[in-house]
Amino acid sequence: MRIEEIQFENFRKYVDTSIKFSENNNDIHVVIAENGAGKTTFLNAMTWCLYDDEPKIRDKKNALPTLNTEVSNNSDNDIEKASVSITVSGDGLKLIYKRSDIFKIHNIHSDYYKNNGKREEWIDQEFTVTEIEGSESNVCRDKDECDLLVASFIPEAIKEFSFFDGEQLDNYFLMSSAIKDQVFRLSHIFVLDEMERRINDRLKNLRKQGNPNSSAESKLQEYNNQLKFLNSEIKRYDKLKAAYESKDGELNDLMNSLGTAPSIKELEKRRNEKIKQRDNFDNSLTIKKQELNDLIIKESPKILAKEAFNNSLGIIEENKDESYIYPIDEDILEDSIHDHSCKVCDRIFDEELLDYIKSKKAKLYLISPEDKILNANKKYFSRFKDVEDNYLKKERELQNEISNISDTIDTLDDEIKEFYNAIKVNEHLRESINRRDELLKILPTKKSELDNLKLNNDNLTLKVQKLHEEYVKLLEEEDEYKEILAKIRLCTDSLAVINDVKEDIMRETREDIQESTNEKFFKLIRKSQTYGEIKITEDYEVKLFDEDGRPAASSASASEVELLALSFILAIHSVSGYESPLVVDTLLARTSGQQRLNVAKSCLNVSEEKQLLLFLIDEEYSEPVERLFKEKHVSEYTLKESESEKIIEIRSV
Amino acid sequence: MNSSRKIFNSLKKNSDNESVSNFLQKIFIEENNGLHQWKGKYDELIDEYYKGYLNED
Repeated sequence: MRIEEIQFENFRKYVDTSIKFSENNNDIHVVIAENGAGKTTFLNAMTWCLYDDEPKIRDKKNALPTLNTEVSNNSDNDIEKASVSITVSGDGLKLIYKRSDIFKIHNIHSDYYKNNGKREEWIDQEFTVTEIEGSESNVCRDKDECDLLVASFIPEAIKEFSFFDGEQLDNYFLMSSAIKDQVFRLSHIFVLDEMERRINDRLKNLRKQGNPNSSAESKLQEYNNQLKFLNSEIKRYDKLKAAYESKDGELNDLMNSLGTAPSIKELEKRRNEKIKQRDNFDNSLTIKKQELNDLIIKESPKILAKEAFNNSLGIIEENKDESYIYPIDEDILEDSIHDHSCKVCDRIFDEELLDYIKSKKAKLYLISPEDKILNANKKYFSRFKDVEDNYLKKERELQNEISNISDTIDTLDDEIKEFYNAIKVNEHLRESINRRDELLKILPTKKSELDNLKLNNDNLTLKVQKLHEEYVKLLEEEDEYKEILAKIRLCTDSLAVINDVKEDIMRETREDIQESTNEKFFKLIRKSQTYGEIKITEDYEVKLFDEDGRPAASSASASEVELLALSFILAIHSVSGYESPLVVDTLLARTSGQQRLNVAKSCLNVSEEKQLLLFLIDEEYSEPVERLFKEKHVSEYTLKESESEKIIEIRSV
Repeated sequence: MNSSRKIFNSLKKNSDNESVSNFLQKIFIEENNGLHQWKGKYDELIDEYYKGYLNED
């Protein structure tokens, strides 16, 4: 069904205006308005008319009445109405939904005005649906019937799939549980719920009729309870098994596509360890270089003085070799001869010794003051004899250590570089590799859980079989309650079937939506290479994969995410059979440039299969989008607020 | 295939017992047509289909 016309009467700023959506070359209609120019009120008017709900009003308690304030202030009537009517058509049927708030208008001198500060008083609401088929028309006022007629257009439970905010499209992927619930409604599973509830009611009644003392019945109850438990355990096992197999399959795919690609986390860990080692060696290198520097500063003066010291020692040695008497201080010698005793060792000279010393004195070579200094420093000079060797030895050791450390640092740098390269090469696989490693970690535990559950279920099955045998035996003994017990069994078996069917339908519906989402997405996106497929999980999470089966949602552009959400919504429409229009607010706001144009082009595609009403702000309606829509003769409307800011006009462009 | 048809077929497919299958399909049709006196209708259908169980036992 499609929307033909919307009429407003005194509804907020829409006083007396209407908009017609004619189907010419296509069924796409664009309503353009500046921010705050009445776009939100327009969208609220539509949901208010159909569902008595204005979702975009934040503070509903303090919201203004639906009646236009100018009308309310200036009315000469006792009663005024604020109305919105939506005309839809399809399959030879026309439906006009009309909702009106009815207000009593009080005089400004009235007590009501004095007490409330306003003239209008809400007194009632009317909702009618007019059915027009051929020349026949019927106005329906009964609430239940009207609700059914609304549901035949867009059921309230799924209105989010028809009226939605483009800027919130991403959030569709965050509300999977709500989607699951809505799909549940779309699949008519609520009928099965009703059947389940009613059979349970009859079952309760039958049990009351049965023999309260019947051991067969209590055995049956025990059997049924255990059977129910077993069935739920089997289902739990099947679910876990399916989840395990799906994960195992995913792991196999990942192993096939990734080969032995290393874990990036592990690579990063090892790279960081190497960086830490390199930093430690860097510190050691600095310390060793400093030690070498200190050695050079400390030892170089000695090295420089070494030649002079050696020369001095040479002179001393030379003099010694030439049999110079070991140098004696002249003054000491003279004093010793004079006092007849040695001034060094206090020995007393006898005449003979004294003569001998005197005889030798002439031969004594008395050293010069320079020789004295040289001799006094002989020991000191000797200490420098090995200074160069020691220095060279120490320096060589330090140079070797520095060289070794530098080599180690070079090796570590090469290894770090290799880690960086390996990480870079595998960076685009990061998500897949992480997933693979995660699966490798969790799958063995899951397998063990699964095996334990299987064992428990086998034991439980044996227990249930035994209970059934006991029950049948008891039943044979209690013929008079056989009839009631048969009815009870019919009901309990029926309940088990209903449960299975519910699960089947949910699964099939999900698979249908998945297939349809894939079909629509690849038609809209016009790219066959980048993405491989879309999967919808049991919890209705929408997952996008690339052609190698790797998760690809994080690399999708804003426009691609929008198209994915749009495809999902279209798939839900298609699978549910509700071919209602799509009314989208600010669809192009999150995109720009070519991406925005791509989404606009996709809208033209969508309009081939359903009516599309787009509400855009000026900034979204960029020149290329406008040109594209004009070329395709898309209907355009603008919303213009009056100078008084109390009235909005709708103009067809 | 619409959802109602799917459910109808699935009720048949998932029932091992013919009585259960017929009973559930009949109820489903009645539910889809709108049931006002549902208790009476359910009791009536239970009376109609429980006999299959008597024969089994």
